[in-house]
Amino acid sequence: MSDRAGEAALRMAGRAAYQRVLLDLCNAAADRGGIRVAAELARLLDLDLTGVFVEDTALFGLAEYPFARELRLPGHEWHKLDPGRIAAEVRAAAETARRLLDEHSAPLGIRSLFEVVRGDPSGSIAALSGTSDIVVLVEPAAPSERLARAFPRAWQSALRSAAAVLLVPPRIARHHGPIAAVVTSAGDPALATAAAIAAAAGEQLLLLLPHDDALKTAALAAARAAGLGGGQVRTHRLRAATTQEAVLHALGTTQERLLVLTRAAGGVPDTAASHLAAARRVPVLVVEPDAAG
Amino acid sequence: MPDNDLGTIPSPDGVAALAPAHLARRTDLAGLAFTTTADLAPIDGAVVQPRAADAIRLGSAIPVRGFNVFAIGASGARIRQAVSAVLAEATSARASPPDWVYVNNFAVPHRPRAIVLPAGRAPALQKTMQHLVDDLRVALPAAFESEDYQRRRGAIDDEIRGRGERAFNALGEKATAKRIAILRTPMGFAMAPARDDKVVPPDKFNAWPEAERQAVQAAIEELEPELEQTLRAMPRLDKERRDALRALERQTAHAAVDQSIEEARAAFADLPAVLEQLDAVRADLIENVYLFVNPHAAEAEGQQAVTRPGSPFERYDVNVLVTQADRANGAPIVEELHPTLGNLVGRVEYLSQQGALVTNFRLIKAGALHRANGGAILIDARGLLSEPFSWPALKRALSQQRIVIEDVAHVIGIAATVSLEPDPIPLDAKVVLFGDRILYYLLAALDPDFAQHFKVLADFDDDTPRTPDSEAVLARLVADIARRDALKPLDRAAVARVLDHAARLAEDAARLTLMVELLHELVVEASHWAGVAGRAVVGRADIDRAIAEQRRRAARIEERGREMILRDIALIDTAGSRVGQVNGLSVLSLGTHAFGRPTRITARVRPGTGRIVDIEREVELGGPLHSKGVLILSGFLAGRYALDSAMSLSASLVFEQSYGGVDGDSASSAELYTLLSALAEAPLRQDLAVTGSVNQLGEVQAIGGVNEKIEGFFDICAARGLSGTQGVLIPAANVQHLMLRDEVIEACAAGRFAVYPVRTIDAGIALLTGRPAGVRGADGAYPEGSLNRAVEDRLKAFAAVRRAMGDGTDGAAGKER
Repeated sequence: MSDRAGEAALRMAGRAAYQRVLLDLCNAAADRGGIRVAAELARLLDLDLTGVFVEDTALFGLAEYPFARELRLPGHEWHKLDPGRIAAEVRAAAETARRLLDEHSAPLGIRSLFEVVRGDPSGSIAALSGTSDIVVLVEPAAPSERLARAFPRAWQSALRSAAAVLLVPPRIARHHGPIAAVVTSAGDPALATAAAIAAAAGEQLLLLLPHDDALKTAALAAARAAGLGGGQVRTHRLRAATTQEAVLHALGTTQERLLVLTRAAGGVPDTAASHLAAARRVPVLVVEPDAAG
Repeated sequence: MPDNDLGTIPSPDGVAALAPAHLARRTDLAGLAFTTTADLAPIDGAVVQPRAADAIRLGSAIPVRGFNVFAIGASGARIRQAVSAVLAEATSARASPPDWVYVNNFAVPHRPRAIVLPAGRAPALQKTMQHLVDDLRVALPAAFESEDYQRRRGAIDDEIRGRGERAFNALGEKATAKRIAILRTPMGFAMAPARDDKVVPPDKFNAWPEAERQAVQAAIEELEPELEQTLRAMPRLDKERRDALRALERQTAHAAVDQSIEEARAAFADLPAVLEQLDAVRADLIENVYLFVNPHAAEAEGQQAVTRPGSPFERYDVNVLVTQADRANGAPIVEELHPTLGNLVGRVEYLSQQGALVTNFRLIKAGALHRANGGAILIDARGLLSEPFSWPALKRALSQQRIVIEDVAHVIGIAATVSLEPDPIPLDAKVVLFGDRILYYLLAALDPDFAQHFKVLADFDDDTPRTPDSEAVLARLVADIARRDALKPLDRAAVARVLDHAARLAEDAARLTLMVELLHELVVEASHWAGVAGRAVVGRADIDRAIAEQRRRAARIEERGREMILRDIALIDTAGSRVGQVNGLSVLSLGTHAFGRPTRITARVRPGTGRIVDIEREVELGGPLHSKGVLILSGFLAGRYALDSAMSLSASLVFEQSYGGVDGDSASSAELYTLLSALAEAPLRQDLAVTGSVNQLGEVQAIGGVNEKIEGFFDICAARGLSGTQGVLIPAANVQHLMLRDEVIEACAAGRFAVYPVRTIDAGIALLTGRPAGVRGADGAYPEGSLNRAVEDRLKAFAAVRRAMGDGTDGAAGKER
């Protein structure tokens, strides 16, 4: 890929391709770290940040069951479901989410919007997103959240959408360090996106590349086109098989702050993204292969 | 009465004037070889104060509690400088005292620990701790971001979270199998019937067969306890996780901290207190590793229990309170001229953080006692006593032999801010107070603790006997003044003039003042005038100019008074004779300037009961000493003239045109002369002025301010034109005090003015009246024509008048006849 091609890719993958960061606040409200990551990404790529709070329609319907009860935390006491109280508590949760969004976006000077929609929390964000969006999903830290199974379903829905997806694991290891990208082809959109973020953040770019000199040359040219100097780009060799084990091996002792992957299509399998995020304790950004054009 | 022993010049009327040689004593520097003061070796003021210097040496040499020094003397004696010089000499051989630092007390933060270190090592400890923190700020984050730590932490997370997740997954699967959905509510969890992983709406559920609905309800009732039980297990898992992570953090922190701490310990292996502190630092670092690794997390987890102004790492810092690192050998000598409580015993400062005042051990500031520890401290006694709380605090420190930092606001109970109670520091300093004598005497009389703490008195003389040796020493002191202030050197004549002036300042030709500050001012001004005149060396003329300028600057009142006399507003005759009227002399002191002024004193007599009315006293303008002098006159008159009968005299005495207070008895001889003149109806010479007190035997006694008094009358006479008969009668005992101005001496030498030394009233009255006083003959009577005879005859006449009137009681001032 020539420099010109690299620039084109960056424009498309960066400011030109993405316009909005779409943050799922249902889960993120419990983890300020996730909101911070979303806000920083919006700032780095100069995108709008939209926080979405989904009111669960099933929850409102549930209150109409005569036998429905709620186990309230942290007292672990059973109470009959009261539709009015549930509505008030949902509104309060939404307000809390709005406040947290404002607290994190205002200091960074980014544009932020807050939306409340009613629907299925596991699918609403994906339904709202498009190719110009980066959906941010924050994995709940509490094991109890597994009970509702909302997050796995939301993650799957997001992966099926046309948007890029940023998965933020619980308790992020670090907020500074290189931007790592798994690059499997010259036009891999992960390269352009990672380069754009690294350049904006002033961080190093670590390219995980298969053994392919032509690809390496093209990738380095694209990085230079993004404004990264020679000392700001490193490459690690990626085993031929693009499995999560290969990625972990290639990362080695790197203290990266973000890992960028391109979804399937010869790249790392979708399912690996969540495992990598958990293993490295860093956010993983999964971009669409179509974005490369 | 001739006074030939005083070197007098015989006069035609039998009373002799003083020879010019006795009107001032000139300095003789013949024994001191120098051209200018630049040739003279320096000397300090203590040399001329051997008694005081010895006292200070004694006080500083006795290491027993209470042997502190109180140096007293006049303010111009430069006591502080002299004491400082003596102390420096006395303590120069002592070893340097130790350093003191304050460090954080991790167990009780509001009570910082004081640690003593060998002299000069405190800065090294401070630097060591700063390096330690700097190292750990890199090493600890690196350790906690290391792959190894992250992996182990992830393993703990995974293991414990996994257990929780497995439990929830199992419950979730069981619920799914029973077609039950578990929903997250804002405040907890709830269960609902489900189909295809979606909650069944109520209307559809109600359409289900009754059996199916009951089965769902039964399933929910069965699952609810399991849900509750599973959720209740979570806090225990969370605690288990936190404990495991904390243990990992400690382990990781230990690995990073131990090496740095051991390096620090090695440098202070000989100091157990420092090692103990380093162990405390190590323990605190392990417990507060978040300060280094993730400050935001530390705040979130409430790690700021110890409120810290400024950097969170200050808690590991070292506050060097006092160090000898920058000093040469020897004990410190500290001068505290502004002894507020804080300046004396140290203070705790505060910083404002979000509207609240906070502090810590780093804001402890040393006081003068801390800095003087192991040496000596000089404190201005007046300043000490005028500062609230300082004097009691000093006494407490001396009693307890330790320095306790006290906060004024807390002492008086106006502060609600939490403050510190730093460890007291042992006090081992010699305290030297210096100040006016009155302060010492008042404290000795009124403060019962005073004698316990200040057992050594260093009394600085105001002046010293004038000998060739003392003149030489003072000359070197003048040289030292010129050298210290980089003034122009003084030539021999100038030095001699300064020493003459020193005798004048001492009001005694036989003594030299030790008010070094006054000499300092004179030399500084003379150097200035020499510069104005373009001279490189200060000469006698420059000293004269400086003295004249000093007088001129302060002479406004003096000149106004003289002008009033010369314009006959204030009535003073300088020629002719008057009955019952004499020129008395008084001295006015305004600040540093004193000048003499003639005052007309008059007396009126009449028959009465022997009472002399002192008008000054009657109108409460006369002080007790003046009244005493007047009462002595009654004794003199009664003893000399009323030998065989009661005194039948009523007299009044007044200082004419005097509108202020009058005190002292220096005018009592003048008052007696007016009384005798009035009784004898013998005119007194108005070209003479009189000073001197008198006793009941008629002896004239010494008074103060003789030079100013003579010069005061001389200036009036000179302004009107010296007649050649004018002069001043002074007590013979005051001749030794004469240090008159050159122009007065020159006038006397030329016979245009005279100073008469008088020993008795008889000698004085003879000079003033031109008549002999007379001595009782064998018949008990005074000779005919003598003044005493005239007085006695008048008194007898008064007695006859009273007898004729049959009046045994008089005394009313308004019954004059």
